[in-house]
Amino acid sequence: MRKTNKLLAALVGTVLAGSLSGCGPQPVSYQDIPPKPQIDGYEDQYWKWDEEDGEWEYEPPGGGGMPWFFYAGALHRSSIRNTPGYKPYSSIKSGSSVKSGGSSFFSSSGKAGGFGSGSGRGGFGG
Amino acid sequence: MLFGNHAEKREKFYAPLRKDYWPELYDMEYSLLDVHLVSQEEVDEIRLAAERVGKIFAKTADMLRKADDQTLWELDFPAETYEYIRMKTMEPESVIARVDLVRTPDGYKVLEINADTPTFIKECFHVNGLVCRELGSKDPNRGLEERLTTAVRQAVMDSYRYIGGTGIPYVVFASHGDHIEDKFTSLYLKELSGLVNTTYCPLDGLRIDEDGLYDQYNRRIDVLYRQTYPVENLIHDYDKDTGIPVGKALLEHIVKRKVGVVNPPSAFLLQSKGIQVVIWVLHEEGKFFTPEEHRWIEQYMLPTYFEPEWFIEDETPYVKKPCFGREGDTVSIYHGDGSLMYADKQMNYTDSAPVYQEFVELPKTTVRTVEGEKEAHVLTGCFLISGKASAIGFRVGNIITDNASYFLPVGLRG
Repeated sequence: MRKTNKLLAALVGTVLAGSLSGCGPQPVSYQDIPPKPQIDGYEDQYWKWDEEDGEWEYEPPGGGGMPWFFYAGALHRSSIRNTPGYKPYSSIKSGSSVKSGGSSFFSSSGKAGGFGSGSGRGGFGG
Repeated sequence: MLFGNHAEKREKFYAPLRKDYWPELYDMEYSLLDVHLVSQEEVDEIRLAAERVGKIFAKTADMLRKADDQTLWELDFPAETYEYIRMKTMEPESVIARVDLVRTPDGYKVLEINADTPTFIKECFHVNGLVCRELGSKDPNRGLEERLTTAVRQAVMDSYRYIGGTGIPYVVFASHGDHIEDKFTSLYLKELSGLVNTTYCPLDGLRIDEDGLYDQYNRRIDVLYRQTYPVENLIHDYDKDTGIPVGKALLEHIVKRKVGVVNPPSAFLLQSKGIQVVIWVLHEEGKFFTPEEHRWIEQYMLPTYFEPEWFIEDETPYVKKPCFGREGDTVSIYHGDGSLMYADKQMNYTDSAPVYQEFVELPKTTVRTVEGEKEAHVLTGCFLISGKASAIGFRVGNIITDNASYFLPVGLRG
């Protein structure tokens, strides 16, 4: 299923249903394994689910390893794995989100700096 | 000699402004001594388009706050920000947002909204009027600085009250201290606000511990005004000595109401260009929006999807741009058969999931630069101040508006 369709289905089926009915919103219910990509030119039988990375990988016979994979709703060459922002969905399911519970970042009473260092990946305001 | 004379005039005009403005950027002319004349009717049309589209974005943001983690992930929001962007700290989704539009034969179309960290503020709200006065034109943005002042003050106080504050907050305006545009934009807002008990602090002067955020004088901050530092960059900030992820720690402090922040967290919710996909597909399906809002979307917005196939099937040229990108960086234009037409030289956002939007060519105009007259593409910007249409301005440059584009002031015809 195309990512656009998938997103629409999720919104209409759950979030919007709550909004339109006046009921409280219900969490979007996804399967643990997202649907296999349906993309023209890519044969269904060669998509393999990678449990560890949480993504569909395209492995055609004689393809020389794993030249493509399906991540964030789009096809990518495997070289994207080396980019700084690459993070499979399986890794965020384990809970990297900032939470309102106890602090998880400070182990001592000293102050820390380093603000602004993240802009090295390019860009300020725009 | 004509343009030598223009260069002298420009230098004479901008020299006194350099103490807190940036007529040049990246060692190139940026702020033109020229004015692009438009009618009052066109200004009204731009503002109407921006304000209507702003309402569409705001309504969509309110819905997406209720979406689950995976939906936010599909829209390319970093996982560290989910709880942050679900916060609603004040009535407007964004205090200062800028809608970028393009004039077409069918009226104005919206390319995108920069809701979280828009720049181009001092140019439109302040310098535009100075250039108009110099060149004998009427400033369509006249009087709008006062409304900006009111909005900034209100936002600061709303943020302070949200964290339980009473009395007078200590407000710090922060930006990269070595980036002239960001620094002077932040200082402009600080001065414009007229708030007492404020200071400016470069980002590398901020400190954080488990109790709160502090400025360069070790004074605890109540409200952080970070007009120009993107959240998607903030989450990559680390203390190089301790390894503490200070950006994530700051988001955690904001979530726990230890410090307030402007633009508010909801502004980041509008920053992903994936929101335009959400709006467009809900419009195509006839869902969620009122009949009037569907008419606005049809009139002002461009088809936007997560895949290019929608355009290739119809042989329609399209633009590929990252969900989180700025200044044309990593934007490319394709012919209807999927072949590349043009790509920006900067490719810093290849790790951000792309959206694909119908390509609409920016109209051209002739501008006066110190190097002579040039033909350039025009991008129209219109600010939304707490949701209300406000100052407008033009960026002119390449087919993709990038860091090398000029600021072209706007004046009223007649």
